[in-house]
Amino acid sequence: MEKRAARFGGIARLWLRSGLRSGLLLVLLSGCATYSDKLASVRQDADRGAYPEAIERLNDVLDVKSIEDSPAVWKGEQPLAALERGVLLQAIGEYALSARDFSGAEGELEMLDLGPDAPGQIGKFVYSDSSGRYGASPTEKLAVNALNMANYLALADLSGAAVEARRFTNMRQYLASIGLSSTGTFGAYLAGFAFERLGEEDRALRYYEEALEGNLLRSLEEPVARLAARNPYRGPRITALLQEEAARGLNRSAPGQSTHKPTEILTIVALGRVPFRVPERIPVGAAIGLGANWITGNSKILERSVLKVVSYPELKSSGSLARGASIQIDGLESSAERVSHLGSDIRREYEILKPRILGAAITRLITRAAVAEGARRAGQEAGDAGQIIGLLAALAAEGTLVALDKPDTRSWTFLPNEIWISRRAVEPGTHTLSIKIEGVSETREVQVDVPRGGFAALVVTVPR
Amino acid sequence: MIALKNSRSARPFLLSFLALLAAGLMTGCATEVLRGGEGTDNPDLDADALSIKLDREDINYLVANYLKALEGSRFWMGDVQRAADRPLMAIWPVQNATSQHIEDQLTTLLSSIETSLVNTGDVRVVDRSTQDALVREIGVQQGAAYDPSTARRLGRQLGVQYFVTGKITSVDERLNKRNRVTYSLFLQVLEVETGLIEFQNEVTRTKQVKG
Repeated sequence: MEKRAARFGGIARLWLRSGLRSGLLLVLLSGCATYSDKLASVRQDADRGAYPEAIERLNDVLDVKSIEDSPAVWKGEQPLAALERGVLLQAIGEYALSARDFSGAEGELEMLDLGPDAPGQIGKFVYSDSSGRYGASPTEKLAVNALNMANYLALADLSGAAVEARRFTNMRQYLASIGLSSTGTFGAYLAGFAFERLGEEDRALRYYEEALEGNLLRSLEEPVARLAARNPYRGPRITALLQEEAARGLNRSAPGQSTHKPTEILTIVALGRVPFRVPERIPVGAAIGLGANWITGNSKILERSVLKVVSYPELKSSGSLARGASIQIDGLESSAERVSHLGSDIRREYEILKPRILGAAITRLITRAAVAEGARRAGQEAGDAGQIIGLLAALAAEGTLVALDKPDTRSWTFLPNEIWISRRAVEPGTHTLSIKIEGVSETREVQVDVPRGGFAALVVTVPR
Repeated sequence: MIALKNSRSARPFLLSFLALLAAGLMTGCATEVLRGGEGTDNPDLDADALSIKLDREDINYLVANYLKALEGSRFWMGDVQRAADRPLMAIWPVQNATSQHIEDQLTTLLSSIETSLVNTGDVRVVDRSTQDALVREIGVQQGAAYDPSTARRLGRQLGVQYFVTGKITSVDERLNKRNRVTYSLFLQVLEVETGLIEFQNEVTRTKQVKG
């Protein structure tokens, strides 16, 4: 019996040593930075307005030489990096390349299911599976199409903008079909604008109805009244808006009004960055309290565990510097209004997810603790020497496995925090726009040519 | 290196490390390049669908079916084939009313229609580059749908009797990880002066991707 125990102790010691070494090697091999760590320098470059340098760094993540290139085969974090680069390319006015990045990345994104019956997927979301496709949230998914609409409008490509509008609608309908609510004020506004310009006025009105869901948008009063004079569609928000117009003595929606298309300038200003994910640790007890409804397994086992903290991805404010915009057209103030606050939407989605994230993190910890418990028991059965080895093996198992758990901090960090829109009718011809960004000393001066009955769309993206 | 000094103790370490290494190597794959099409070892290379966008096979199918219906129509056999002079036709850009960025595919589709019409020998067709320059000159916006008054103005300048125009639409469906798109190509032949539809047809094609 003693001989058997000694033999067992020897083998256990051998496997323990090997296990510790392999574990150490694994930790070293997988000791790469999290996504938010990798993007720290990109964010720093963007914060000081050095967008080309930030783009260069993203080219490295994408494993390409220049902004002209995209990955031939998408892997790991590359679709997400393409979304980041798409925003930065928009910031430097490379709208066509930005559109290419958004379209390329869009097809590679998974949909993050926020539904109550998706605990498995949330589990994957908590910890990095570096080869796994990124699961974008509804806000992120809709923003890809909305930001791409802005690109096509800046390029005066209405057909391209309409394609993005249809993709935006398809995604919204899909989200609704799986019971997920989503805000898409910005996308609906731009879709309405594109179809209005294409002469599909009824469709434009329906999009404007959606855009009005979020806020009462003053810049939509004139277009809605003008289109309503020629089209029968009335949603509840359009009806309310027209009633308010009538109460103010305005008669812009009366039948028989002019059918002309106004000559106008649309200015879209995308400011700041949404909150991003960072690895965070909280005591196990607190995590159990917050994620109690989403834990699978007996959390009592954790009482014997040596690990008393749990790591998970937490949202952190990006500390956006750009906070507002004032727009002048030919020296005259043009009022701008905030149509979307994507930062709030991202935070709202995260708050829905957080208990499930913590629940999944605890569930994973229970599995780890069960492995350690097995090693501990095996040691106890082997006798005195085995008990010590079992304890060490349990420590090694828990320590190694938990060290390998890197919270998945992937998120679209350069997604703009706020979207502002200004719309103004102008005379045909050349106009000078001056856009002053509040919070950063940045003013952009641009000249645009607007054809009679046509439009010019200016997109100013300030991801800092 | 310490572990390697003792072969017995090194075995488990080596085994676990090699297993990891093998797993890493198995995920890599070599690049494969193939030549396909008629006269090659892979004549059916482009037969497989690789995406839900329109590919060459889809375009061939849509154009062939449209032309078959057009040539069998009363309009073609009567007004076109029995005309004293071969009528002059022009192709108005086909509007992309789908959820896919298929502008390049639409250019190929227009070229295919143009080639097929020319090869019937029954009509003369205006070169599209000449037409495009004129379209830009009269200020037709990119992506704009067929507009009768602009078409009449353009038609007179080009001296054409008929315009071939239309749009391609899509119906998108998504369930779990399945994404299905049904494309419908609507094409019309319009008499320039009167705006009457002389012929109209619709051909559909469905693509699906899973995963």
